[in-house]
Amino acid sequence: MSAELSYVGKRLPKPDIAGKVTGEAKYTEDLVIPGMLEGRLLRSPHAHALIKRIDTSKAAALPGVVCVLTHKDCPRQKFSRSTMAEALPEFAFTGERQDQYVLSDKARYVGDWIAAVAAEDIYIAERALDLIEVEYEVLPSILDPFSAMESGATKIHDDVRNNVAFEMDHPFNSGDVEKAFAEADAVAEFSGVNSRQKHLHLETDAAIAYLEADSRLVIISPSQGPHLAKKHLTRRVFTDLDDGDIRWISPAIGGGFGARLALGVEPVAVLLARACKRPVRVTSTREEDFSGYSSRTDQHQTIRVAASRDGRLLAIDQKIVADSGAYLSHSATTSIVNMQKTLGLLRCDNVRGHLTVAYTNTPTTSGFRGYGNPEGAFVLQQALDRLAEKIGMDPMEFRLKNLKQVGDPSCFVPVVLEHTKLEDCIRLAADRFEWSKKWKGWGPKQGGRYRRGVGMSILTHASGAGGFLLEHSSAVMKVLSDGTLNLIVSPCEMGQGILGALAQVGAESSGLRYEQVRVTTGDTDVTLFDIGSHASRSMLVIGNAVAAAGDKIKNQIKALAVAKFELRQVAATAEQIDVREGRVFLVDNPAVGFDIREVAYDAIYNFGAEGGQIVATGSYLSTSHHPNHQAAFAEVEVDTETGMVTVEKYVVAHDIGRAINPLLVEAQLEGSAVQGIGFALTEDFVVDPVTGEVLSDSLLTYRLPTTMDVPDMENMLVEDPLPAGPFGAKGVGEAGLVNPAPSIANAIYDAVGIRIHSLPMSADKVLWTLRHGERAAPGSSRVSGQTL
Amino acid sequence: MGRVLQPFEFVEPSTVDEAVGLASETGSRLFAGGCELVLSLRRGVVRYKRLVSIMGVPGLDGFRAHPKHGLEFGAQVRIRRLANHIWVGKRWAALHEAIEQLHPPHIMNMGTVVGNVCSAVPYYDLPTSLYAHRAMVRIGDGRAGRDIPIDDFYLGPRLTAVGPGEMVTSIFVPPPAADAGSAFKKIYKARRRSDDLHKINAAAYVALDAAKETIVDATLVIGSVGAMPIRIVDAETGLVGKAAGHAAYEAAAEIAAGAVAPMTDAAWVEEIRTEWIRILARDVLEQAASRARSRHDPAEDAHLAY
Amino acid sequence: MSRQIGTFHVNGRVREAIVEPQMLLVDVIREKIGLTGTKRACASGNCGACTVLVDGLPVCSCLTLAVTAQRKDIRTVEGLRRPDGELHPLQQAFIDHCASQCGFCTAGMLMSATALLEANPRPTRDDVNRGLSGNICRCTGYVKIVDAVLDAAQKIVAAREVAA
Repeated sequence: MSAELSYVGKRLPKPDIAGKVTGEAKYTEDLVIPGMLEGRLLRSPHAHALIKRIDTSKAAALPGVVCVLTHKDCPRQKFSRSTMAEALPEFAFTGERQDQYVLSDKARYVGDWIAAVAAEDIYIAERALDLIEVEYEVLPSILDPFSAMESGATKIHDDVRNNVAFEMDHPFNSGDVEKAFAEADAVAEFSGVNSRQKHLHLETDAAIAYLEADSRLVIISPSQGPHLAKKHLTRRVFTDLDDGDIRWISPAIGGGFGARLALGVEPVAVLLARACKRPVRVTSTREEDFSGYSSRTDQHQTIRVAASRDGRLLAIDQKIVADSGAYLSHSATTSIVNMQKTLGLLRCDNVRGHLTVAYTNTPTTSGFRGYGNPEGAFVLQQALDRLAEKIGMDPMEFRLKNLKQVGDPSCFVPVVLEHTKLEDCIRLAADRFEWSKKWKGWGPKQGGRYRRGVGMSILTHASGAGGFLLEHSSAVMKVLSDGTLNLIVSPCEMGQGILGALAQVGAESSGLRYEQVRVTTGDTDVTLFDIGSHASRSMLVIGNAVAAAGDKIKNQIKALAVAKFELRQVAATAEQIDVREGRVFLVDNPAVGFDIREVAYDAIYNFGAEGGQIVATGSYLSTSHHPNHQAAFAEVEVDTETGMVTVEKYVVAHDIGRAINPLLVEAQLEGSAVQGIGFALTEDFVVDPVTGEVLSDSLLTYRLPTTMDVPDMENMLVEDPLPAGPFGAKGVGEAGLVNPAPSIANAIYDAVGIRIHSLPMSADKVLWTLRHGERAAPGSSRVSGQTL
Repeated sequence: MGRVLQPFEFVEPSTVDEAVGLASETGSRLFAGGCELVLSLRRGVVRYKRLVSIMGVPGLDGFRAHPKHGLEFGAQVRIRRLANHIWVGKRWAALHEAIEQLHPPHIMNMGTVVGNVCSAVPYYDLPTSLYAHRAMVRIGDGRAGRDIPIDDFYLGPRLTAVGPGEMVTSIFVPPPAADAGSAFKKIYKARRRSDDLHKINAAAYVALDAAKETIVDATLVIGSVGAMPIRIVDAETGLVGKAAGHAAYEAAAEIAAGAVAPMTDAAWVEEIRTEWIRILARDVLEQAASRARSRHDPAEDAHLAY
Repeated sequence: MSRQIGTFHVNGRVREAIVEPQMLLVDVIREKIGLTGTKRACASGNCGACTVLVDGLPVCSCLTLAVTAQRKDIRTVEGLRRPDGELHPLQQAFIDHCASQCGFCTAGMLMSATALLEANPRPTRDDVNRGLSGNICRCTGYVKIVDAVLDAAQKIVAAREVAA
């Protein structure tokens, strides 16, 4: 089939890249609205404090200051930084607690938003912040979820008992877990906690808001899901407005990774713009993004697994205590997704999961690429290795033996697994990695300062969340007089390359030229409803909508072409005509045909013609999560004197269905793998255990991987089209971030016989553990009474 | 903490005398490459009403690197100038390595070595290497000057021996002995407490006798463990007269590990810090001695940095 | 000296702008001169997104006072294209290899790579890794960026040899 495809499967340049290499692409902060004011936020210096008094008079009196706002000027409606409440069904909805005001009436973390200023320029705005006098009454602060839940702990939110923000049993608990554990031949347990990995999108949080001539509100910001954000903002905060009162423009986005799925400073920009009746731009610093934006939620977990002697997985029991920080945002939903992916990865009849999310006086955490899956995999994949060790089995064989097969219940939503190539992924990657040669069995290895080890990990991840989220999307296509295809789609291009992939699907399905596809996106006035780019959903859900529109366009062209062939004295029905690469031709005699331009031009500019411009919409509703899968193998070297871990080799095979553009898929896999390596080893978000201040508030103290940290990597694709995918495609955006930490953790164990229980597996923790053993390892996770 | 810097005056005098005069007024500060100062101003760590740039003052751009006569550079000399110089790499390897590992490398094109030293930022790398090389800091007021060893230059965090009406006009690094070598290494770490720092660095200088068997002179410096780098004098004294070998380095490293005061109240953080200091001290001594013995091009060892 | 008309030589053209001493070069380039290709990302000299070339060498424009860059030769990403509009080989290679994802690091990456290739026209992979080690990219995992720079290097050298 692929021989017949013109664009799908080709390594074509994506349409948005030209503007990025020339510097012409416009990001939020590159835009200037005439008369625009500069807005800045005053943030709390205390982790937990009552605001006794705010005096803004000196700030307001500073020449050039246009307005100063505090919680008294905010709507008294609570909202959540997460916009997901509008896209979730009822059972998960309680995890989307609406728990904050735009400007806070109480400081709940160091960095909480206390007041906002708009001024004629940024220098004045920042001077004004210094002039705002706030009198705080400092309260005892709670900096870890276990202390937060102790009885008698200070309440962070008045209406929340014991600071428990959310609690639930896994919705798909099944079997008799206790019985299975009691009867199993082998039982293993692993406890661990992930770090608050920062998204670190290079573009810091920013938003512009202004009123258009008809007093309609325009918001410009790097949002990953402007339609949903708009609904959320009008439904929860600015309730005097409704869906039609806001136009949200999401220009080029300087990285998202899930962060832009939560609201940033947009509500503040709106508040200021409405108060000042002038355009306002609110910006932030990198330091403020570190303390005040969002990060991955730290989920303390214990996972117990049981198996029979012959390696059959009998039971999994997962307990999660998550630390949401000061406000809930995505923390509960990411933890739910963790349970779904973790408990649902392998064939197992007895599963049980329980989740508690607690508030603390630390920065708000949120959703991050992988959304619960990397958090769970770090613990699960180590528990599985421990179990394999107990029964003396090769960890790869153990996993292979317990894979879900087509027809088994899937993991994310109650549907049947329709397609999986996970076994092929494992075998392909293992072969390339030379696992059978490198894996030397359980037990002590060689000595010496530098020791090598190998480890593996597997995953299942969603391609959208059909059945769980509002998974429908629509695309519009119009054909211009020169044969250009104007594709109007709603994903947000934050670098993932989705516009390119959709353009390829659009050109392929419509028969028009890829080079002549012009993609329009990012403006809610132009694009159709869509919940945004996340959950590895855009390719599958929006791609199917594009393919549906493309089919309609092609049919319209065929119908119009009949008359054109007649003019050439060729009798042909629409069924005998095909369109490809911008050319209309006879199926039986491809040499006979003409350029699409003829049809396209006449559809618009021929006065005698019937009808009008060639235009179509396509819609798609996804009812399943169509999992993509991945296997990864890592080889590490541990310096036993310093504790430093280096990844020497990293091999991945991904179950992609079909790669619409292999170049873009590789780019996603490489990028997410390196993010995963940072997550595994160096990215350490540290909150001062006394003051609650973020200590890692710069790229000096929060260490991202650089060119010098990239291992020898191979990313391979297993292509077997998914029947439900556009041209067979599945998602790929997030999966690559899941496997690095657990495979590296397992490789460290193979090398030096210790496991690190908290991420990142930084050199100091590795060295400590080498010296004192696992039981005494530093960290602060306490699930099932175990101190990590 | 701002997105921008608050207004100040910027003046560019043309003599040292004028510069130090302007800088001695309250709220004034000398300015060279500006990397550290601009960052500190934006982060609100410091605030000045006036910056006095010395970059237009004639006579501060001197540079000389000679294997026998030593290395000397004026207050305007940017780090890049040293990075590119073959004799710096060959004879002052610890300094060269500290420069090579600056992150980002852009800093070499912006910052001056003297500015880096005068910033007195506790975690900077160049001062540690200059301690190992026993650099002398030349302080002048436009008329007279005085030389002080870099060991005596720092009085505290962001505090130096430069008095009002004075500035550092140049730094002189003496030539190493014939059979000597030096090395610099650093380890990045997470900052675990507010008074903790995000890395540890170390530098050493070792001179051997003609037979290349016995240590005749040594310096050992640990940095980023307090307000300023620390010379481990006991370790240095102990090394002299010893056979150049593992036992000597291990012993010196043990002394270094014991000499550094804790920075936090977290026992595990301190245990690891101590251990890393030991490893760093041992490794820089070993590498310095190895260079003393072979005197090969230290640039070849750049990849050995952690 | 406070508010003044500053003279900047940007991409071969003389540009004037009203500047004050506290203004950073990145802000003046972006907001006064209107060349928004240069990005501000960490404003601390740690990420390289704001890299511009001053007298041929990469500097962090976020740590440079604009007044100190006057009358120096400043090059930004907008100056990479040839006068006839043709893309610089590095830009073309970034497109061919998909070496830009969100694009926020790209301008800085390209400027560091330009300086690297001007100093070392035939770099090894290790040289490129080293030369770009001060530029953070959160999206790509660097592989395709390094591929692109090596590819561009080859093409530049080949074109030069043909011309010779």
